[in-house]
Amino acid sequence: MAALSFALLAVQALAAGYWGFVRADALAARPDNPRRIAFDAHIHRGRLLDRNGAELAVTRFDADGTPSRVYPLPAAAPVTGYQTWRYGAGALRGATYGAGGAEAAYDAALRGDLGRPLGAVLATRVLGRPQIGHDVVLTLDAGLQTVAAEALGDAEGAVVVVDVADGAVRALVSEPTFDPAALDEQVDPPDDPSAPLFNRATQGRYPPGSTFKTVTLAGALAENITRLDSIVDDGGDAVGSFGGYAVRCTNQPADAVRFDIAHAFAYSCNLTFARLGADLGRERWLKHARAFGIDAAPPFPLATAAGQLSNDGALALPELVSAAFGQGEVLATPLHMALVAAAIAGDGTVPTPYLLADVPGVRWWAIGDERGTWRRAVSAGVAGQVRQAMITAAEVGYNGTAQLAGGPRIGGKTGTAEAGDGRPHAWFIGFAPADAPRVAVAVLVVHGGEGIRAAAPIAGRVLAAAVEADAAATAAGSTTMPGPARRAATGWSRP
Amino acid sequence: MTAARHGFRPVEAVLMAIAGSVAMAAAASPALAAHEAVRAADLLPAASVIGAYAALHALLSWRAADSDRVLVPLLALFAGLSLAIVRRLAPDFGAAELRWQLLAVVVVAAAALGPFEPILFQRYRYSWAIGGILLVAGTILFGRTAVGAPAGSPRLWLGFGALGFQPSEVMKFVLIVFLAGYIDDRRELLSERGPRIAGWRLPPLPYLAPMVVMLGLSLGLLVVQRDLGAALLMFVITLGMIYLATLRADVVVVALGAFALGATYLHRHAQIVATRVAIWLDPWASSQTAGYQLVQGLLAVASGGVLGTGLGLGQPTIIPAVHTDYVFAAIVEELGLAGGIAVLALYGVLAWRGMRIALDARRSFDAHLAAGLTLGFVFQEAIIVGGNLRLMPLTGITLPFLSYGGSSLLVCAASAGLLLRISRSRASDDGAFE
Repeated sequence: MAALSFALLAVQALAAGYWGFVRADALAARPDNPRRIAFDAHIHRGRLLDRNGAELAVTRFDADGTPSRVYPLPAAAPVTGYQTWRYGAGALRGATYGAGGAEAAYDAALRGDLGRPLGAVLATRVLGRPQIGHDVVLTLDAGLQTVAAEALGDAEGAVVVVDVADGAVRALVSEPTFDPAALDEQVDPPDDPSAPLFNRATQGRYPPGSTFKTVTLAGALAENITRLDSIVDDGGDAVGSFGGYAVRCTNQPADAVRFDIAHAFAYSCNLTFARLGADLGRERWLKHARAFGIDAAPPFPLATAAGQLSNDGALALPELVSAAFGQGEVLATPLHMALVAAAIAGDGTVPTPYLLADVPGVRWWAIGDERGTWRRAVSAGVAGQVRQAMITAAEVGYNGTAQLAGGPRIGGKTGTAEAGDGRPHAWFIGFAPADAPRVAVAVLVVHGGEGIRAAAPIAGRVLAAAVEADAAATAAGSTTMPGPARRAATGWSRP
Repeated sequence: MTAARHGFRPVEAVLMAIAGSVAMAAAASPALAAHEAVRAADLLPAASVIGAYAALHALLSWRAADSDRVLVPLLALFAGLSLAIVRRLAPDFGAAELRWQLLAVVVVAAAALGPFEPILFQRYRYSWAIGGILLVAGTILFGRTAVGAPAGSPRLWLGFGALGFQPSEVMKFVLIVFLAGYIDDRRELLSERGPRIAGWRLPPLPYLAPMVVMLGLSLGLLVVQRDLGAALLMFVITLGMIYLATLRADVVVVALGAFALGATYLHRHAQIVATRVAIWLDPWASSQTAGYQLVQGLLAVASGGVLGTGLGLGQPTIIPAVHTDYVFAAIVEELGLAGGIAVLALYGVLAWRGMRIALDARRSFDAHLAAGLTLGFVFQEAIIVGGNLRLMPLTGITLPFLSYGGSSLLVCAASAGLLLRISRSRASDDGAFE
């Protein structure tokens, strides 16, 4: 019986160890753990800063020590996400929306759970001193974010601006959005029918429309099916039938009957791209579209969604040719399309999009953000040819919309994606400056109508502002830049 | 009985000094956490209880120098911890806790040194048993809920005005005494072989019958009262004592089988049992409602880490009824796994001394009584800590010596005092802790 007593006590000790040690971290992280909330209230949470040091999120304490999280730039909510004392960081019901943003992604650094010297840890633990979090510098440009949000206005949609060189995200807008500071008072924001927590830029899957011709063109050029100067007779009354599906071109000037592939791209000629798709065939078209990562979720600190190329992989001829010009079963997020633009504007590789520029005082490997090349889409040579087609498209068609007078020369492609019963989705993807691209953009206006009218002007303003900010930063020298580019050169990127 | 009746007990003195230091540190710690200074009023309760146990130590040196040397310091340590924890968890009960702890020292002393012989328990065992059953039955008829408890709570209390006690605590004690007396009477008969059925020898049923009737009555009364923890405790104590008396594993197997059947029946037909089991199986599903207490208890354990937050620096008061049902989880939160396992080790020491005393007892009745009382401590501790740690469904009983609760503490004190008394009459000095 004494042995039984000791065995019972041993089992209890093991169970205590299980809950208190093995499962301790999992339990401590539970959003309904009141201890975490009470402990968090005493943390001096770090700030979220933009690449120039502007505050995006900062914790203030009022006279009686009650903390509140202030968001000076509400337009950045899709990136900053939220941290509230009611919900924690990103723990809102419906967190599948991923609206937790950078507050959730870098929670450990902001709280100061990592990268602290032993003395500070002991002071917190033993003396009950408040825990001091780290400031987190994002790649976001607050000025550019503001321009993009204002350009989009009240329309439902998204704008994504990435660095061509390394995939740094400079602006990421999703409308409608939310006020992260007001979440504590709002009643169940996940139930809002306008879905303000839903990040359309990274998780919204939409038919990309004619912007996807960029991908088909890259595949056709890579497979030597066509050349930029190949001549087609697809203007006028030309009609092609693909398995009983009739396709024609509708956007070219009335007198344009014969033109080269670059102009077919500029005129967004569906018939030409249906042919290219048919000539590529299902397997080769899928191979090249997959190379851009459309059917994968891009690695990114915010939650991303995979697009899709086909419902079931069957892609019979009518589905294949409509997919080739971005209709049918193809779905992509604005982030995907910005990365397509970045790959074409760069050396043909798709960069890994990233958001974290720096955490002063913490070594990068403690944060573990991914950087570098996500995948190779096409060869640098093919990328250069598609880039030329996009520059031609801008010269031919986007003066006064995406190509602003006095603005930088750009390359781009519109999209007007049929979307069920409603008005079509308006798209634009592009890059600037045309001769040495630094930034790539994707603009989506949900049910906005024609890409050239609804999306292209937004892209024009955003690209002009991005190039201007880039020039200003270069002129000011590297000291004001938190230095993602520098760090990339010294091996931040992970293998 | 070679040891002197008088004589200084150095081992006990050293252990008392350790227990006193721990008790004073435990009393000072929440004060430091709360207002960063220790005032005399913070230490006075612990000092008075430790002083009372020191006086008991002196009394034992004078009147019973041959009694067990470990029990009194152990009780003093439990009392010091209980004072600190209850005052920290439920400051409103601090004054009452101090009164109960001081009264408990008197009860220990009376049980250990009072002018009576435990053999009287044996002589009048049926009177005791009937008295105990009447108590519980009276609770069913006239019982009331705990002071301040919501309507619909189990009515487990008996008494008038501010004076109340839980008859089930007394019932547990009475059952152990009755069983010790009964087993001692019928020990030879009990281990005899009864009729043979299908190659398996039954125990002699006629001799088991009174015991089964007594147990069935008390269990039934407690189940009607919905005091499941006490019912379970009495069942396992009975089983343990019968096994110790007969060393027959088949009796244990049969009893456990009957228990399984009864538990299944209750699970099907008693809402409270079904609810408790459902919460136990998946507390997370109802973490804001029915499973709140269990989930908050586990979160408390998880938040403690290895060394805990420090006494007074955690938030165990989030747990409902923490000062009676969840003292162990509160200890792990604030004193860490180290503190929790140290407390488990204290119960290990209690089990060791109790069993030692039982083995060394001169009279068979004393041996069975000591073993039963020790099993009572061990099983009660296992049921509530097991409930805290989700090893088994939670039933609200107290953690012996540590929880707030007057009835429980006084019954524990009486039991410990009896152990101390029995240790005086041991067969040899071999087992004494020198």
